[in-house]
Amino acid sequence: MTLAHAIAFAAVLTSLPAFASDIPPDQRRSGYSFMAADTKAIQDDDTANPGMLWVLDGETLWKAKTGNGGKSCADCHGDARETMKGVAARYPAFDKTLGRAVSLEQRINLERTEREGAPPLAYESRDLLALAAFIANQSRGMPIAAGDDPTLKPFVDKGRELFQLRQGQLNLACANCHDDNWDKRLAGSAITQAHPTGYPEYRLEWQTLGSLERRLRSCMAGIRAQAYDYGAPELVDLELYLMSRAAGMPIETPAVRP
Amino acid sequence: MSHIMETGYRRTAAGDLVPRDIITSFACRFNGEEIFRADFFPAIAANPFLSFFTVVTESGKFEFEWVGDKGFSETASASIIIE
Repeated sequence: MTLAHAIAFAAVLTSLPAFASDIPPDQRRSGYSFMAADTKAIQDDDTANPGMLWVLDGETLWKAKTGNGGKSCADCHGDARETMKGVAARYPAFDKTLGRAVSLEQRINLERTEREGAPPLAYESRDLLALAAFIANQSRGMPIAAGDDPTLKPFVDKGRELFQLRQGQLNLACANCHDDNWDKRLAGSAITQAHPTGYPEYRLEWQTLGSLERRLRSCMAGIRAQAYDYGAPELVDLELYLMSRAAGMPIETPAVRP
Repeated sequence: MSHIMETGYRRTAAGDLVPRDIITSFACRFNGEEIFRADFFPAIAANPFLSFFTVVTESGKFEFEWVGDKGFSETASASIIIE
């Protein structure tokens, strides 16, 4: 190796950022753009999109009276088409009482327990997914704005840290796939950019609707790490970071993914 | 139609079979006359998606009926006007 070569090599090495860098803004894409035309068609047609079944169920639940208070969501919030517009685009959001970020599902359960006197709905239960899908559907087409709240900054940063943290038996971080290799494939599947634009979403693999936390937990199982529990602050911070990463992209709920 | 679509093949953690709970048949009638019918069984699909065509020559009403396990029954209807 000549001296010139060695210097060139060293220059390349030092110019590599510590973490192989964020995706440039102009290359950021929704997972939708990675899908085959057939799968896109399922999402685009509300009569074919199975996620709309949950949205319709959610609308029924929105109006259903529940708990000791005998109140429904609609009793306080009225017509969700007006009042819930843009709400999901801002979640996870900061909760003053808890002093941390809460996900949309957690907000629904907080409202149920504190205002309706009703028991919380189990994570991934049909009713919780239906309500979340119905609420998020009211923001469809609106740009994601989660993480804009300055009080959330430490939680976004924590989420980003977790995104870049190698873990599990395979010793992989989220970023190893979703920042460094998003233009490649893992087995036959496209590795996407981890922009959670359409949750809760209908995954053909699951044959059902599922939350972003379910998706994150299955990624963690994939790298053979111990998955965080549903509702764990770590998962919510990750959710928050991912949503802030997708800032500006339109909400697609209920999205369809392979 | 939103339905739990439990196959009847799954077991609980205790090993008990979860009873089958699926939509077993769908029928579409136009002005009382049946124009489409389908019977469903486990293993067709978790969430079967049906699409069918018919030609109508007069105004009238489509009636849709779903029947399933555990006495499940739902109907819906849609009108069409031929001018």
